[in-house]
Amino acid sequence: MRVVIADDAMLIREGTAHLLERAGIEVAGTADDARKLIQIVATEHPDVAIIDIKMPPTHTDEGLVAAEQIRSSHPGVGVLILSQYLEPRYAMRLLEQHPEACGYLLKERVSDIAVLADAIGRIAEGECVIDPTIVARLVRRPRRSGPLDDLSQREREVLALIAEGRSNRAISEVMVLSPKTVEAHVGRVFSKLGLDDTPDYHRRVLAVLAFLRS
Amino acid sequence: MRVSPHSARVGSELPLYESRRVACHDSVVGGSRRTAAVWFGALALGAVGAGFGLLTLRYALGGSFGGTSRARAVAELCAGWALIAVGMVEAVRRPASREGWLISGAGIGWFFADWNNAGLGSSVAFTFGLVASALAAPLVAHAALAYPTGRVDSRLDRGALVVAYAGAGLALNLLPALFFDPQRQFCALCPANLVLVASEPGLVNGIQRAGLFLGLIWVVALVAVGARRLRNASQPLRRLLWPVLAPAAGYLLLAGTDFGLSLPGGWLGDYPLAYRLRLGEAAFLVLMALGVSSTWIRDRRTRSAVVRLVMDAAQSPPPGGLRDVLAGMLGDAGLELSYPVGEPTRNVRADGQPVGAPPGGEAAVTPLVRGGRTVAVLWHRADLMDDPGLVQEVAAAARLGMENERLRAEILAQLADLRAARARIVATGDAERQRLERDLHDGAQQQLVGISLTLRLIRPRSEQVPTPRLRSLIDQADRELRLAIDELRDLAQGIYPAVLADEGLAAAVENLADTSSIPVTIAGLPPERLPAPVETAAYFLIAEASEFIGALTGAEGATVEAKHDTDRLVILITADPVAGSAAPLQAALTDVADRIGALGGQLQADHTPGGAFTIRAAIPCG
Repeated sequence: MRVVIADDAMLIREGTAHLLERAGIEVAGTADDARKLIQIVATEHPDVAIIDIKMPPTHTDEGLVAAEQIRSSHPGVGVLILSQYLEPRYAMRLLEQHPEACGYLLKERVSDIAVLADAIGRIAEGECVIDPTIVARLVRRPRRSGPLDDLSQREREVLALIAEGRSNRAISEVMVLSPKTVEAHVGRVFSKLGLDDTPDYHRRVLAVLAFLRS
Repeated sequence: MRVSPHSARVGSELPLYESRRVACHDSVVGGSRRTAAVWFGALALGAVGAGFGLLTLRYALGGSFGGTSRARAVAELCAGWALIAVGMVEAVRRPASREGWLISGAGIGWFFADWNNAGLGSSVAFTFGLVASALAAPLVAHAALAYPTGRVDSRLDRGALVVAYAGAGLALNLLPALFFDPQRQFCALCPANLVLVASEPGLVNGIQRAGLFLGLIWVVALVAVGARRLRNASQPLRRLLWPVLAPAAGYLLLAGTDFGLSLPGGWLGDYPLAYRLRLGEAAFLVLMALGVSSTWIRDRRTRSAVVRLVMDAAQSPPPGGLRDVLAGMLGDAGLELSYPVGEPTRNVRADGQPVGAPPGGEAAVTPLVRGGRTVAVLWHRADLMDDPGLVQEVAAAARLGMENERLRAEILAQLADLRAARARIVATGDAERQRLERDLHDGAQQQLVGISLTLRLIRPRSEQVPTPRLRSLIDQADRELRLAIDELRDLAQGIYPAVLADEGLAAAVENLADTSSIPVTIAGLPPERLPAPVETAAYFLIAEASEFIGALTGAEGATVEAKHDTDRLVILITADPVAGSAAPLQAALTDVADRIGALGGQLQADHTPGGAFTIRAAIPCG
């Protein structure tokens, strides 16, 4: 597993690199702005690029723009956005453009090396990962009606875990259910969201998007 | 109030639109001494003119061989005196213009013709008649062509006048007089010619014929240049000119007929019809005098009409204010009326808005000065200046209305300043909020994340040395750091949501609905980006309203709708029906209402009959 890290804060950039290497993930390069990141990605072809959402020069959405650019020009490279913002809007912007091999985690996850390494692994496999805090907030939010109304409590929990990027097996472990039961739940979620006819791989992403949009 | 011509007194911010004809625009510079001098001069001229007329009647006409009729006497006096009187009044009305003196001069010159009279007993009077009798026609033409400014601007007009003066004064008067000896040439009873040089009857006749022939030419030329002047004049000037130029042309054509009929005999006025022709000339001169005086009547009419309108306007100001009244009165739709206010001075319209450049380049600027201070500035069509009385009269009559309107404009301008200052204060506050949010996110929060990372980096090392207390301390520190990061995020989000600046109102409100204490339904939001102050005001309104609706009214949910009309954002927040009053809600929203007010918008909280609270706000997006 090879990654590159782009963050303009030296402490975070180098600290993350240390932790990842300690966890057995090769750090192929680091960059302190989007331009250098694109160069390194072009030469190193990492599995995943870990990108701070805000970078010089304007500190607004350079990270997101760079991520979209990488997904377009290097489809084999997954992107993981590290952000200080809880708003699902930023994650949606990323996923709507390129609903594969994308992740959106809160910045403080960098010190939670297990979560970080897990997310990187799943992104490298082409999945989408949304920060559990954001997912939890979306689950908790007050709502009146929406596409998720038909879902049972169980199914909603399953959808939330899908949104966090977990596989059916991981979900069965978390929820202490048999893989068969989980599969049945997941199938019902897809059909209630009207995603029966799409291939399984995309269904998961589309279900996440439906979840984010709700 | 003094209306002065366009001058350097106009403030420096005011673009100077050079008035093409400004000299006619009189100013009463010099005050009362000059006015008194003009009055004195005019009265003296009147007295001299009246006396000269009577003298002419008594001696010249009375002494004529042919005698005189009462009708002729009345006609002679009417024509001369009318011009003299009208000239006097004109001189007093417009002291800076020579026109009045020119008209009076023409009136006196009219009498000269009667002194060309063999029946006079005095050789001085007889000689005066010989050298001046033909001057009336050029003098009348001069007064007409110089009307109303007193100056003959066109070179062609000036050339025609010079030829006319020379033709009349030399070829018809002085030159033949030098060689005319009345005793030897048909007039034994005539008084002596005091300017006689040599008696040359043939030469006298030759010069006179040439002069009469030349007279035919310059009379036609004068009528032609007069017609040309009328044709080239602007609409207001033409209105002013024709009552004067037309009778003058009539008079000149009769004078030309006189020359033509005199040509066979070689002596001016020596034919049977001369008497009637003279009556006709007198009639035309009376008409010319009436033509000059008609403009005074029109000035007065204009003035009283404006005074009436201004009085109406003072009672119930028309939508366009005095500007529309003046534009209508002066027939200039593009007219601008502005008032200099503030320090440093700037020009504002009646509504307090700064005035821009008037449409079209050909505008004249007339500052209206009172007590040495410019109270208003009129930008109007340059050709209005052609009628010197018009702008002056109208502006003077509008004085009272202007004073009122200027005061109102000043207050409105101050109000506009205040509103702009309010908007600036809000904008500065927002910029500061945004800067704080960035500092918290990019500074403090990043550093906390960095420290958390560092703790994580040193933790495994402490694992190597089995000191459980140190590990638990590090873990505790890490937990607290995460709490601090979360709190910092909430704080920053409350100060200014980054998503509002990055992604716009719709994204920010959607996020707000996610975290609100009561369910918030979004019925519609404009997807496009709006000006930052508008987005911010709308966001804080929705944020605070949904919070207060939950806390103060006990409603179980709310619906938010925002629509972007062409020039404003309309936000409607409806709470679920509950019993209660809207007053506490309105009070709680004072801060947001102020923010919206600073942008020129409005906020209204109501309690509908169905029991639902509605908050409606409209924010201009200009």
